[in-house]
Amino acid sequence: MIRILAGNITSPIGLTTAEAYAAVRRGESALKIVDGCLGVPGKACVGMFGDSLRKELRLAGVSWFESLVIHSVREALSRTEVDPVSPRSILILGSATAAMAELSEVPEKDGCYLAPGLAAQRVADYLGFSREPLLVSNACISGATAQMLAARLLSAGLYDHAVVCGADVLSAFVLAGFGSFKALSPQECRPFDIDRLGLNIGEGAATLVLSREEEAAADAWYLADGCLDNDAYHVSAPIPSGDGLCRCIRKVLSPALKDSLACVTAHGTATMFNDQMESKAIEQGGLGDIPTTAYKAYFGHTFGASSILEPLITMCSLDEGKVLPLRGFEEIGVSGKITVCTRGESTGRRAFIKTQSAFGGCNGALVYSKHPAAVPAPAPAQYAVVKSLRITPDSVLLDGAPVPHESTGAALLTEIFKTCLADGSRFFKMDLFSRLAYVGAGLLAKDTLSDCEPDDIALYFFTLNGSVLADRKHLSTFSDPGAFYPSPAVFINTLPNVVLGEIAVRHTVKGETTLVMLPRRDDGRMEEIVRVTLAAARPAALLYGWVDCEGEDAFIADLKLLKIKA
Amino acid sequence: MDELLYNLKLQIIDALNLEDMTPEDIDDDAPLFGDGLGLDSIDALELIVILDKHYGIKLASPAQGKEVFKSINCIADYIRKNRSK
Repeated sequence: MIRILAGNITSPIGLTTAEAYAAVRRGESALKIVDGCLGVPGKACVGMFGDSLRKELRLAGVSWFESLVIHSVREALSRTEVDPVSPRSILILGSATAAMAELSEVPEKDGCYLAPGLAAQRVADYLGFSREPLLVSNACISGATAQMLAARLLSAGLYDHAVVCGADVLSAFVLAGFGSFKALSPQECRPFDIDRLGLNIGEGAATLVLSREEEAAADAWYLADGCLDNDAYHVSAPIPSGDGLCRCIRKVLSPALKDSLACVTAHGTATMFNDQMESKAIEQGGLGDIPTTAYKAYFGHTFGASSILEPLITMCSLDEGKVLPLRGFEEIGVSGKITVCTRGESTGRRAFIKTQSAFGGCNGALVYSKHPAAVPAPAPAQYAVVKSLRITPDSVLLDGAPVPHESTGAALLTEIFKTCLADGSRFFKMDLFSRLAYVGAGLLAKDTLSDCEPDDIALYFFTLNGSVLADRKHLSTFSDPGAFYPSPAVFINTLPNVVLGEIAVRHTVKGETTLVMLPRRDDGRMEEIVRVTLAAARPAALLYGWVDCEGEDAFIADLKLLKIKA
Repeated sequence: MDELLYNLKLQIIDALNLEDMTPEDIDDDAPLFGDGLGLDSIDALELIVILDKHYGIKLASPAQGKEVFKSINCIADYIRKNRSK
């Protein structure tokens, strides 16, 4: 069982979980309307740290993102006996945009400095962790994916404690990007409401200190269960039926759990598409009669932090015997039949489900409970490598045999796409990192996945630099104040997990899809993560490996396709 | 080809990365979404950027662009009536 030993919320309305929760109970919100926020033209409604808190939290020698993570982790750890130095402790970060924030702050630094895996390493060093950290970048469900990864590593007995911190910071980078998606509300957001206009961007960090325990303690919270998947529909639009998220909910929802659920803590971003989709998923998943609440109108969308921050708020409210009203909601504006908690309710129940969805098509449903039921591990299974692939700027090796080609560098990827795949996909709209991963996955998936159920196929990619080339390009579309034209097509590529969505759409992959950023290539680490993923999720097929791209003539994809042995 | 139509097509080919296409390949009246060019929701957002960047026209949302973005001729008509640069 995975016990939550301690948590922290580092937010504009409180620097501890208790402070943030007290602020919420007083009716405070981090959201404010700011004119010309961080140099972005026009008015924006954002959840931003005020100047004095910013000063207080900012540490010398590290970025603002790193400062928030360090504060959050340190504060959470201070209330436990967990020793970060122990080789049995691991730090796992979840962030959608860690690299972007760095980029806006230190544009002169070289690409390698910006790699989010290295940001995670700096944080781990600062806090004294002896093991190398992991950073999950799965857009808005990064924090949920990081918790699932932590739970698996703990359950496998590889660590005793996992410190999971989700964080993202407000920057011109994300404001311009989501602005180009026309996804931002000029006012405080209104989740599930008929008059909702979009999301508000927030910033913050939130931490859970997790521990593996044999016996359930009285009055402790547990990460009881969870499921992640992909809806294989479109990289930036959720499937209207809500099927992907619905499958996650059904997977974790037993009749016994249903009877003990106090509420659903929804993603509720207040965009047209998310809330509509989520309402369908909640209804179809069997949770339409459970009170649904959401907190984006208190904190804004804190991206990587949201899947940790929001469950912490619900844990506080249930400890008080309350489900909090959904701030910003007045009149239902979604077609899924859900029970929005409008006035706040008293409850004696001590379990809830957290739902979330993200760009790249990924979804997650996590269960938190004070009375966790044992979730049986799937039967052990054997896997075999059925195909392998290596792409470098001057060679393509499929199962060790060269694939003929004429060009090299970036043109090689286009040539292979045209000669071997030519699938009418969004290939030409992808950045180089995505093209590399897409072509690699395409060569491996070709004619090999037809015997697997879509929801039984998973993707797990590892990288150092991720989307840093797209990050720079995005920055160039609005760095001149006289020509502020951020491009949605460029911005989408700055989320490094988006290519997993492209692959999922093309090959109908509906299992979980995850991108992990490491401080350096480490095959042992990758194998360890793959092993625990196979043991816990038991997919029929897993496509995984290292994909990294530093420039047009410097990239590598080293991928394998594993299949379960009959 | 009308200069506005020609430039508009070049801008679309460039911004939407329509590989191996020339302005001559794009039919003035064919639908841009669905069958025709097969554009998607991100492309619709990119068209909004084109209108802003090259013609000084600000559309608030893709919903507002629904009628405008039906075909190249529809976009060109809208530009002629509303352009500020």
